[in-house]
Amino acid sequence: MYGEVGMSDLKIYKGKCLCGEVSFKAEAPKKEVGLCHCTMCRRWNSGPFHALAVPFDALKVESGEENISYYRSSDYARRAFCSNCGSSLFYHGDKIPEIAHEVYFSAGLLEEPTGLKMAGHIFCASKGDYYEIEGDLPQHETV
Amino acid sequence: MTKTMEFKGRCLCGEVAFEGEAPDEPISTCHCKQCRQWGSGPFDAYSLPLKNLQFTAGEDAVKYYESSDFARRGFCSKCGSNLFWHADRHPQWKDRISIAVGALEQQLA
Repeated sequence: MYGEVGMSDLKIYKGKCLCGEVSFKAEAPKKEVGLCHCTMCRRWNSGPFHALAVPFDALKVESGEENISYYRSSDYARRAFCSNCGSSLFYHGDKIPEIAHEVYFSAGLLEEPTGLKMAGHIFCASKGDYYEIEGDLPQHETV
Repeated sequence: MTKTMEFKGRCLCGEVAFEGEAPDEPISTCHCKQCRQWGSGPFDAYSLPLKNLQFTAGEDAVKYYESSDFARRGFCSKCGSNLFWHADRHPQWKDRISIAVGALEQQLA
């Protein structure tokens, strides 16, 4: 059933917001970074949202939990940001059963080098008209 | 005569809205760590003279974080949308502001 048998590919992720108030640690399966080009993500971040999936239960807030603000951006999801510096923290589809167990964590928060690669693009049909999506990675019109 | 364009923009929740008419500048994208830490990835910016930006709503809802000794970053305090980069303490750049392109309503060339 599984391609390989052996140790699970767990990685320690550490990251913090721009002002440093909010910091995170997660031990989670190694994932790749996806880009969302939808109008909501681009309005929130200036451009596409660069994110990786981290299980909600694996995400530990190491400092600054009191600085995490949530904006409910739709009936089914909320967006977390730092109330001190405005850094985007994560997207959480908490009302969508298929994805409620994980957050889409902002890749820009991560300590570098990240050791990660990009996986692909979603909501390409909604991208801004001032740029093209280059390269050979998968491009999905929506999800 | 410089070509100008009209623009309108708002944050994700709509609390902050702005507009203006300013020179039609190409967009630049900043890949520095600060911008990427702030908005998950590179910051797409439309730069214009500060005097050409007018708020139509929610100017009080914009919170600024001084991210360096010469610049501050403005965001909506309600939804966290990253809106402005303003080198307010830079001798040459203080009279210009960069607007996050994703916040703009119309499609730009």
